[in-house]
Amino acid sequence: MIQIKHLQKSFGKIEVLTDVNLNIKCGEVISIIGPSGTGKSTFLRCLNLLEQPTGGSIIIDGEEVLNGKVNTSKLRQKMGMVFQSFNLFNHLSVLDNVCIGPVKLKGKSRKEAEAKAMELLKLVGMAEKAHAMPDELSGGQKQRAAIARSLSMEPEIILFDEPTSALDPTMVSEVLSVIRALARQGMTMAIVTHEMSFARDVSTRVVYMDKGIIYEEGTPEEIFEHPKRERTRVFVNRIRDFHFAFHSPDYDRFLLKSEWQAYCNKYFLTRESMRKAQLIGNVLFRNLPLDKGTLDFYFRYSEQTREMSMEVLLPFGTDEVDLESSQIIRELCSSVESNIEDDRVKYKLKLRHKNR
Amino acid sequence: MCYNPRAGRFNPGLYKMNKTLHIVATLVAYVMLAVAPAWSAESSAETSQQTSKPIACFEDLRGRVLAVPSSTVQDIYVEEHYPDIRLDRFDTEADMMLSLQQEKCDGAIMDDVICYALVRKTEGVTILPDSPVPPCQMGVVFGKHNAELCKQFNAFIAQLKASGELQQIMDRWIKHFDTAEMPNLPLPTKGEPIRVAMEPCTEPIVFIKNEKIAGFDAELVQRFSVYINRPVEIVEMEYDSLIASTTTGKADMAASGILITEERAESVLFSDPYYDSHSRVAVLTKNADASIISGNEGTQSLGIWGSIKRSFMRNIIEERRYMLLWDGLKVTVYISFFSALLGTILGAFICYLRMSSCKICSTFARVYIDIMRGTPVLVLLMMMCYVAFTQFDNTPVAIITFAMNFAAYVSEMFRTSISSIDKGQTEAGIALGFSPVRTFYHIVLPQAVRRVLPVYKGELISLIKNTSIVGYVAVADLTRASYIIRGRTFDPFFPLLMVALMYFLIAWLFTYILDRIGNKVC
Repeated sequence: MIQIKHLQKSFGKIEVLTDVNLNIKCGEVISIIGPSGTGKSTFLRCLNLLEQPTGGSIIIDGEEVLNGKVNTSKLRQKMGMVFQSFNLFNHLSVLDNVCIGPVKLKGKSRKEAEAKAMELLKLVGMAEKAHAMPDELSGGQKQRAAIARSLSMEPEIILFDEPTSALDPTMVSEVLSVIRALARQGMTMAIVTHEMSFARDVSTRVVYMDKGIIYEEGTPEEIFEHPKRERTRVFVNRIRDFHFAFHSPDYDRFLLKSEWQAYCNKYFLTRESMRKAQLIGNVLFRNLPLDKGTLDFYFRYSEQTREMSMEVLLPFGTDEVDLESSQIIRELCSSVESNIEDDRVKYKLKLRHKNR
Repeated sequence: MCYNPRAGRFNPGLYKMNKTLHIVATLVAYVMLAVAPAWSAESSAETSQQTSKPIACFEDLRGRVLAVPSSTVQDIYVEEHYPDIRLDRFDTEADMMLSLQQEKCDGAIMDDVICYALVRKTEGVTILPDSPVPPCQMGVVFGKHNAELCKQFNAFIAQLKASGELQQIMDRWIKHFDTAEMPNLPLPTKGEPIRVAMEPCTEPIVFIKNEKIAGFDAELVQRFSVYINRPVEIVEMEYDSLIASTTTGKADMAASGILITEERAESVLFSDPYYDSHSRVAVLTKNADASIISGNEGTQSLGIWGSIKRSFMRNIIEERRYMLLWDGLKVTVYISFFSALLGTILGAFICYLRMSSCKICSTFARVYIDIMRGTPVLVLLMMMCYVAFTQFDNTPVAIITFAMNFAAYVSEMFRTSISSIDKGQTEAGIALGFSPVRTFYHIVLPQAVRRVLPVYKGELISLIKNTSIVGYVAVADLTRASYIIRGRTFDPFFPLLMVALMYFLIAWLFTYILDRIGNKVC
């Protein structure tokens, strides 16, 4: 239904989208995830030409839309859009918000439009509030009314631009369940979201965007359970890094201790995990060659799976060290791997993990 | 206050009650204002006690306060020769009389013809027998390019003087002005009209009596019209504009008891003098020496309501003066309405230019707004009427001027209210499938109108009140009508109060209509 090829968008000198390629088929529910500032929203806004792309092509139903010949207003009528900040028309009641499109754009009679609007409002659970003004509604109610408004034009696809990001946690679920119901009815949708569990169970396909490109895409299972690429894994597992560089044997051990402690507190590591990690650390720092140059130490913790791991990059030209002879390491780590990366020996230690 | 944002609905019952209360309270305030001067006059008459020496001649005014018409011969002469007399300068003789009655000054000096008429209408005032200011001559003013007409007028005056008719006319108007009537002359109707600038606010020189122009200058002009067999078209304007109007071509000649001075003669032509004007000083009878009081004084007090009733009869009913107010009211409403309409349209256009991405357009709009807001409306009005559009009628030029000024102010209001509407509203409209223009019309505009309405109302009221300066360019509006009435009745207060009340009602009516429209639109 929609084919996007080599889509580019830059604001002045800042390039937001470098090269985006995506096919959206009818009936698909596509979740677009990724760190902030990677152009997810811009991509969505480029789709209905709220932002004019600076390169590439968008083909909708076999027709190129970026050649300037297409009636963009007609095009947008086929694509509903739901905004992060709702953007209900403040001077109109909920019912009028839902009616204005069909009446003014499709030339429907007021009566016909109202009947249809009430139906849609029932669908999103807002029929009771049909005559309320937008500023009398809660955030969740506003967003549901906005969804009804976008449905009123009978679009072929709805674009959701972070529909729950501006909501209280208590109101997120009411909006998500409306979107879920639409997905069940077979509506084609593209959703930019930060709600990972929602993206996992509502979408047919998940797109991970990073730095202006689609970095990885696949079924929810592929992306969330077995991400193939490094940055995807870091993102979906919410892996956090702690880094310390050793320059000499006389490193500032108090600085290391306080920074590590602060990191652990920030991500709510348990006292026990912290103690284990420090024990391993002590063994490592005692056995590793600190006098041969810079040694990099990484400690990683996944907020998603709560797995902990460590990585050590030895200085250039130092030989491998026997780590597995230490009993502490054997007992606390599930695996120790070593390989060579950029002429430096790298050890990777995975800490034993109690499954939830 | 009657719009409940939570309910989102307008409560008409509450609104009506509140509005009625508001109107009633305002009217009561006006009535109290009307009573106040009468009451204060009553009480001051009883309490004030005169202890200083009675005034018998001009010399006795030394060391006291004298009211003078500002920048006239009297003003200049007294200031030069009597430095120990403090001067209070006024624009009209009626104001000087008021000041005298309120005992803010001890004497009021003015031209004798005006003085006689004024004293006859004012109680408790006496004329001093002497005045040190040398007599001045009155003449008719012509533009320098109108020397031919001036020559004809001089011949006409010479003929009147020779036959003794001039003396008769003057005697009739000055000594018996209560009964004097305009002669029934067979006025010519064909031919190119002579435009005569006059300020009909000074009895007995030129004034309005029974809705018609009267006075000795008026009679002279009519006789002159018969004499040269050309019709006369009278252009009413402020005294200050009279002389200028003959040089800009707004009028061919000007006559309103204008005194001949060397300064004036440099820029315009004066006819031969037709009257020698002496100065006279009026003082309060109770301050005057017994030897100069003529003896026909002594009216009894009417009481507060009596004096209000008399003021009302004199200023509104007699000589159908309400018609003057009514005509002035129509002119004010007419100018206000069309200025507001035109100004709003122009303001919307300027706002469009100001917000456009075209650099030249927005710079033009900014410069326009800066110039219009930085220039006093009165100055702008004078420039438009006397410099830019001299050949046009003044009323439409005034409407355009006010519209231009109004547009500058409201365009900025429109701009701020439009840019205060969240960008998301526009985006949502566009995303729904509206074109940018239709998005503005259906989504942004109704919200912007609702936001701009309160400030727009304020600006509209100030426009209505600003129109009161059109008198300066000879448009007979409401304020001007009050001046004309004051010039006849010398009641300083009552006509002003009437006019204030009428301005209030116009402003109220306009905002009421605007509210109605506003409720419909949003």
